[in-house]
Amino acid sequence: MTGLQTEKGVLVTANNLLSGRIVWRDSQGQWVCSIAKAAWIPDGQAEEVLAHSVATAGAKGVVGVYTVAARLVDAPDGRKQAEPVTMRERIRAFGPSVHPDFAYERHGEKEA
Amino acid sequence: MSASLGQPVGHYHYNTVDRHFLQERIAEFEDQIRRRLSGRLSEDEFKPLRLMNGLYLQLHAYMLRVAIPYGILDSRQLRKLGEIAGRYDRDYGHFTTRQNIQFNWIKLEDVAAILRELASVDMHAIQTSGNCIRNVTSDEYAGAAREEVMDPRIHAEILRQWSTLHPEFTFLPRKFKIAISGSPEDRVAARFHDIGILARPGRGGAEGAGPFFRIFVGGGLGRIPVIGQELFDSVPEEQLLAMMEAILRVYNAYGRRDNLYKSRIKILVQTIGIETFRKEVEGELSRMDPEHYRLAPEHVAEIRARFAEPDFSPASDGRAVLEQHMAQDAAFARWVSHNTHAHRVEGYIIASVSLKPPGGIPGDVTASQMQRLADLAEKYSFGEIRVTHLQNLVLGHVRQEALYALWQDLREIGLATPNLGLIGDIVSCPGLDYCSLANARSLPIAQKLSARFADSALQSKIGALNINISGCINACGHHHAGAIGLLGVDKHGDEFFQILLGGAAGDNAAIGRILGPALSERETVDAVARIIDCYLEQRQDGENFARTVSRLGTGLFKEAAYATL
Repeated sequence: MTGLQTEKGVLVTANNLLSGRIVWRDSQGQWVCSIAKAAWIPDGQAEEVLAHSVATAGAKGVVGVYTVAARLVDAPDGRKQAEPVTMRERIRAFGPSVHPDFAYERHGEKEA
Repeated sequence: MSASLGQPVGHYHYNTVDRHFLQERIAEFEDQIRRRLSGRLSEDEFKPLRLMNGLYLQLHAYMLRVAIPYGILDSRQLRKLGEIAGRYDRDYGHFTTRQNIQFNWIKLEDVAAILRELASVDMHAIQTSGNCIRNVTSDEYAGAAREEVMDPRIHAEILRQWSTLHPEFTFLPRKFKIAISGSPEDRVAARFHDIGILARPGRGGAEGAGPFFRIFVGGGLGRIPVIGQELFDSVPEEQLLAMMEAILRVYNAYGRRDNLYKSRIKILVQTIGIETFRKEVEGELSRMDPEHYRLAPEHVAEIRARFAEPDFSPASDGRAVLEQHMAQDAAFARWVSHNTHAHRVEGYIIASVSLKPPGGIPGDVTASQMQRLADLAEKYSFGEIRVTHLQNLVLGHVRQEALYALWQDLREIGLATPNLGLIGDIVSCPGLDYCSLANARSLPIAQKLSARFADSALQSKIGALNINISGCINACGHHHAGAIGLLGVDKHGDEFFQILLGGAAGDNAAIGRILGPALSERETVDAVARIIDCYLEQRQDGENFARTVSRLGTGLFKEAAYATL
């Protein structure tokens, strides 16, 4: 994928308590399974969004809320897309490098 | 107990009390899950409870670690593990360096059902995690090897029962690992355990008929690798449990709880010294009622009676038939030379199943392979199959004349790699692909090294050599104990690997020495290849890799490793 890093920020992530599945906070404050729908949070707003997410985690059925350093890149279709910066978070988001077919979205698992 | 009565061979046979205990435990944990989901338990309150039931929240999902006590399974248990892998996971399981199996894609909502399925075959996930006494591991050839001096399985089971839900040792400063062996050579890495036990039979007469135990304490790998020290050299059987109690009490009392990285017993023993530690243990023993903690011979006999023995009936020409097959098939002969071990009963042989196919992931087995292996265990080894701490499997009691047929069956499922104890027999933790603690991925480099050295003839030529790979300093891949050890590190967001040489886990336990600066994955694979080339050039007749490194030191190998950098 080609693209230029234009801005730094974070995504907010957690695990679904019941399924253990990786989930991402969207712009409505809901937890979704697809990273493509995750809300991009500029660095300056990250602390406040994280605090709110942690405070409401129990009610929303998620656990282990934290922020993931991410960058916005230009996707081939011209959209902006956020991707994790570190290898660890990329593996977590997109599946194990030795078993890419095990990733949730490739494994065909529906939204939690 | 004889296998002809229909009881599983190899491991302790559960009774109604044991099964009732499992059901109670499942009901308790199910209630804890319910309370977590309803919010009555916070995650901080729930976490230690789920860990004590073997359930982690890992990088991708919940991970369930199922106990395989002293590494022995029967075929119905292996079939059940295969069913669980297929129904609840991604059709595979991973055998670990503590003789357990892990499922990496588990849902909390399925855990109670999984535990019930495990309980239906007398299995569980109790105390495979948490700050408690973990799975007691043992020699993969226990009760089968010709040279064994004492079968350790009975006492491994006694230790398992003693440590399960022990009221005093359920919240230790940190995890606690015990290994027990009865072979002349240490096959369990006893000196790298919190307690390592080497068993031998008593000589009878004035000394008594019961066995004796040599106890090592304070060994460990991880952030601070330490070789355990001998605490006592001849603990009589009747005092074994009292001794374990005393050691654990001293650790529980004085082990650090303020610093996660200094909380293992190895730190306590290092800090106060083995002499002081021994005095503390003796002090505890002196305050204990010896009769209350006495391991009576009658109790040992009761446990022994719940181990079914195979009904051996060797053929008169087993060896001759085996030799004929070896003469006819060179590939089979190579597999026999590396993957088998002499059995205590003439006419039988121990067969090791390598879970390290060329380019494969160490320790991984698919659900369908598990089903097939269960069939093979029934067909060839009295329904018994063992898991080793080096992430392989063992069929402990194979008729010599049937070995060729077994090998052919293993080939059909891709598990006939003739590399036991060779460079392709790589031990690796799951690493950053699965583990939230890891700094680097261990599996891709394991696969690359495995592919690089895939040629069987080359592996035979190199000879005995173990590569151990860990994705972080917690050392679950036992990299300190590898003849070649690799430790994955994160340098400014990129994966690098430190190379260590000269580690060993047996009687001559040694901690590997770091060779030089960490290298990238590609550079590391090439460096290992140059190290091997250097060894092949320098070795003397009959010398294996470990001996050559010991003789020459690491200087030449360091030069070779970094030659092009």
